[in-house]
Amino acid sequence: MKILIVEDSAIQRELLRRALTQAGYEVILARDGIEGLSLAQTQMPALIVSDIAMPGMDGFEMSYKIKTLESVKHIPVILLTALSDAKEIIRGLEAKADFYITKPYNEHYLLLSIESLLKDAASPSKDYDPEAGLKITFMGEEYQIKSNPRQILNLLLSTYENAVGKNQELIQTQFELKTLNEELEDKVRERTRELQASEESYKILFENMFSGFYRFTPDGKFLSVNPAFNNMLGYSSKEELLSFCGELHCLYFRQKEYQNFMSALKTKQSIKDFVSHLRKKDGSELIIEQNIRVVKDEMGQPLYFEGFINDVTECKHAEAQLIKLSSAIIQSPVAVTITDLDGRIEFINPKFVEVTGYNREEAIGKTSSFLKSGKTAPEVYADLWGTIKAGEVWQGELLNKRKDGGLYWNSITVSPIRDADAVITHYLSVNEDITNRKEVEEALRKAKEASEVANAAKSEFLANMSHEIRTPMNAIIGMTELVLDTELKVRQKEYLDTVLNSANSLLTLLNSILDFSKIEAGRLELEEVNFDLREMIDNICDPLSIQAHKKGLELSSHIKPDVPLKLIGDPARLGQLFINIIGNALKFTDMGEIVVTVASEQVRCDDKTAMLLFSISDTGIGIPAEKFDKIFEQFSQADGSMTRKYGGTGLGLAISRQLVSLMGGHLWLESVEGQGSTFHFTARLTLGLEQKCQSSFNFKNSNILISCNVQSCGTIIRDFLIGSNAEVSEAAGAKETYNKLVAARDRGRPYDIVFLDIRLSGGGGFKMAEQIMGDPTLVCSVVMLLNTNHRAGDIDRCREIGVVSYIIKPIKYKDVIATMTELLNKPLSGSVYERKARSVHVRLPAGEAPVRVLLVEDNVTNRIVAREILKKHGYVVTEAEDGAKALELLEGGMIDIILMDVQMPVMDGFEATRQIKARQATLAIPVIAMTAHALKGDRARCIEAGMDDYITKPINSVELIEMVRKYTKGNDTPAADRPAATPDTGRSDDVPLQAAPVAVGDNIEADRLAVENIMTQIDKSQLIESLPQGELRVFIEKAVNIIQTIRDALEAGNYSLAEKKAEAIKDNAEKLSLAEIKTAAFRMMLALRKSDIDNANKHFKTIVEELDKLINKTHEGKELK
Amino acid sequence: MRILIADDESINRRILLEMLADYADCDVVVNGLEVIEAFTMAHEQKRPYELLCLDIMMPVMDGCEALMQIRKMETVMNISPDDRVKVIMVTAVDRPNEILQSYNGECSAYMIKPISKKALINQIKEIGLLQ
Repeated sequence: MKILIVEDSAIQRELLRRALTQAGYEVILARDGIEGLSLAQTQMPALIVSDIAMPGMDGFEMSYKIKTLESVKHIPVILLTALSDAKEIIRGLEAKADFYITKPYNEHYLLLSIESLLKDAASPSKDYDPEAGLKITFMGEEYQIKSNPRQILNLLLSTYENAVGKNQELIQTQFELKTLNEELEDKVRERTRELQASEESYKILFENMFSGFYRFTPDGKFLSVNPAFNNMLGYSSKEELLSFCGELHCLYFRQKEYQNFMSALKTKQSIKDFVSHLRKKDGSELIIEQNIRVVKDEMGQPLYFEGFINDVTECKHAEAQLIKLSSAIIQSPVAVTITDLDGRIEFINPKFVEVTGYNREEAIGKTSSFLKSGKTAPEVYADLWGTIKAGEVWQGELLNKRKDGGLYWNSITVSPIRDADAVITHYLSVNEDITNRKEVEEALRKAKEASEVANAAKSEFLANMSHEIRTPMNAIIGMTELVLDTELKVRQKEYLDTVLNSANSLLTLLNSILDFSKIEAGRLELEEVNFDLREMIDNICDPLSIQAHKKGLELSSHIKPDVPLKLIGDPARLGQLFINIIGNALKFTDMGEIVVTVASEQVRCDDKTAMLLFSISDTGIGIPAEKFDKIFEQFSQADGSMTRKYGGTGLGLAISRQLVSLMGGHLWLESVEGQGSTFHFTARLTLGLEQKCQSSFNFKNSNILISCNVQSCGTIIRDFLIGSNAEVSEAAGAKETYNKLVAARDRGRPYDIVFLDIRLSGGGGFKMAEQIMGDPTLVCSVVMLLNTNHRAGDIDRCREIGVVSYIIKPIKYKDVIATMTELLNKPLSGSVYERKARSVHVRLPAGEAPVRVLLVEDNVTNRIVAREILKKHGYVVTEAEDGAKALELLEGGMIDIILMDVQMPVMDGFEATRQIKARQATLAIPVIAMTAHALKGDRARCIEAGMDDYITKPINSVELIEMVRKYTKGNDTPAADRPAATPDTGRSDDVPLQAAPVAVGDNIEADRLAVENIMTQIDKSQLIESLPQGELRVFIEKAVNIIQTIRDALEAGNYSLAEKKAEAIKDNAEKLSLAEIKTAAFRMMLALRKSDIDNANKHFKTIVEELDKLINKTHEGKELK
Repeated sequence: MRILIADDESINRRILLEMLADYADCDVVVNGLEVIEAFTMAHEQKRPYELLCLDIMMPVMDGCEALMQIRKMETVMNISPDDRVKVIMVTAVDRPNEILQSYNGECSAYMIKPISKKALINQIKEIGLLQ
């Protein structure tokens, strides 16, 4: 059975086709009404199912056309209708369609409808019979409707209306639903977008935040970590972290800590600021604080943990450092306090409590002043505060008081503490109880003082001993000598010689011991004086050669030509070395010679010193090598038995060695037993300013022969003559000498001078001399070299022979040169030393405001002298007899300078000066002391008393004026205008520096004359009148008594009493400046001291006469008489 | 010749006086102040001393101070360097040069006690006051 489907929608068309095909129908398809109409006519389907709304021809039109075509009008038509309104139903009725099915259609209903329509079409349709009603089938059941069509239509229409209304509502609802749905979809989209954005920012935060973030499972497996977490641990990525460390526990240094961490998480919802020590990739420690929370599932079981970690390594290290530092302070062995800027204590450490006895509560908040003992000067605290407030560190020692009242010495260092901006916020004081140290120091200081006192006492003792021993020694030796000069019996003389020798030995010993003590005490200081080496050695060798010659020994000194002679050093000590060593050599040598050689070891131009090598060789017994060291020891000789044989203390070489080392050299020895010894020593000496030039003597063309036994003799003379152009030959022994003389004469150039040794071998010097003198052609002059012993006889012998020149050994440079110069008739060259006279002009400060001088002096003469000198130079002088008077006068003011005697009655100069300097009005006035005591102690006393300067008495006019000028410059002519009155020009170079400037010139003489005149005037007239009458009367009374005593003493021959009394008169007269009486008394004293009784009586007479005159002159005297 | 001997020890004065009495007219004083007094007096008498033998350690004024004062006075008196009084410092002080250092140029010689007559006379000869 064919069914035609007319449908413009391909989907609908296909759906219908499928449904009908499945139901077993043959389906023809048309896309619109026109095609449907045409197919209906051509195919003749059994039924047509058509859509209504179609392009071209709709379903209604097509249905109508089919029902109006006779050929196809029997074919049932079903219209599929949306039945959107009632008009369509009416059109549908008009279209005469057989059935309507509303869309969306029910497939099952559609098929039932088709089946039903086909069945109707098969039976021939009956015409509508209104009585029979209409028979319809609905849902498979047959209904018989007998209503008229109008009724039916109306019902149908109203039903339809109703349905359409419902449909409208439905459509409306559907639309609303759709709108709602769209809105919902919008919201979902928006939410999704928001969620995406939120996720994005969360990811950025997670990736980039500074804190580390991680999640891990309850069994310690990492879930996720952020980059900061990796970075903190030193890993570049999560993967790297996991490759090194899959589980959390392996990050931990201490598993115990990990376990604590995990168990804490088990019991708590979250943990805060948990500190863990993790191992970084490089093995170093990372200290973190972590804040972890637990994330749980619905069942309340922990799913995972998550949280932040923060790197607190530096913090923790700093914290550790702080802890260390603070425990250092707390446990410090010194007391530490920290105070605020006002000194209030904010912190003390336990040591402070221990030291001071104050506890924390007692100390905190107070200033440290409760520790003050009151024994530290306020200036110390002032200095402390001044220093620390200036931001500097103060160190010092304070005597503090403990809580129990005990005192202790506190060595304190206070330093400011600054904040980051360098502003001082606190002060830190570190205190150390140094009481013990102080005590030790004190003990040490006392011990040192004691040892210094002891040392000083030792020095004093040495000096005194020297003085005290020498004084009686002087008496012994001096008196013995004096007795020896008187007529004595031979035996007496012998005894006294022994006394003298013994005394001299004792003296030598004394000197050695004193030297030795001094060296030992380190008190021996070398002098630095200019000396001539040759002179010094000659002076030493001269007396020693006497001893040498007595023993038949030769002693010669030989200074090598390159040795500088003008030196600076200690010639006395150098001489002592020679005496010690040559003395030894003499002692231990019985035959042969002793030669002193000086060579220059090293001359340093830079420091102007020379190291000289001195050698003293003898031909004595020698010293065995093994004893070399021993002989330099103190109190030791090479052999104990030597002491008995040769004597000596054994101190000599020990002292020598010390002296040499003081001179920067050393002393050593070469010796062959039985052949002799050579002592060498070196000494560093400073070069003198001018070096003597040996070649200043010119003996050009002279021809000299030296004839002696020992070679040293020839060498010495030859060296003297180096540079003098003399030709020098030597001959040993008489025969050679003679031969040389003859040979020279035969050559036509005889010797000008021959030096002949008296001990020439082969007949002796004199025999040779006689021979030579017998033949004048042989030589011009003969110089005999004599020994010191028997020299009176030898000199006579020379004269007998006709030899006019001789030199006494040891051969000395000056002797050789002088003799040769004389013989060769050459005048000595020399320089004329001229001293330039300098004059000093002293000008009066004329035209200037006068300078007012206050002269304080109790001695009338001294006062007048000073006054006159000052007046003469234009000064205005006010006088005072003592210090008290001076102070009175000063109250009147108008004084520019004070000249102050030191020793005065009533008030002495020191006291007066102290008072002057203590008063505001007078302290600026210069005070010049006039003192007779130029000792160091007095100078110090003057300065201590506040005196500005001092001059020594007797007063020198130039010195006085210079001094006054110096201190009154402001009142004087300007210095630049003054003529050269400065002390420098007048100072002689020879005057030591501490001496006052000594001026030389015309004015001095004038001054002197002036002073002399003054003195005469004073003596004659002024003085008596100026004397206080009371004092004079006292003097006269005393003098009258004394004179009686003297007279008695002189008669009784008690000269020492007379001398003593004369001195009493002298002293008393001096005080009153009674010059005549004083002088006469002094002369009398001097006469009495030399037992010149006649003169003593004469001067005594003068005293009496002068006293008479004085008595007559005074009123009291007249009364007395 | 006039010689002034200054020593505070009477025995020393005596010895020097005895030693020198044969050669000169000697005066004896006991301290530096007296030295100056005697020196001044001798000048006033126009018979000055040719030689002073001064002990160094003396009370009131020591020998060095006296020496300096005398040299000053001589300067004031305009006495030429050659005519100045010769001075031998005599002392029992162990190392006189230490004390004398600053006065070296001012004295002709120094001698350490005990003094032998021979040495003393030699010294005076060396100074040129005796033949």
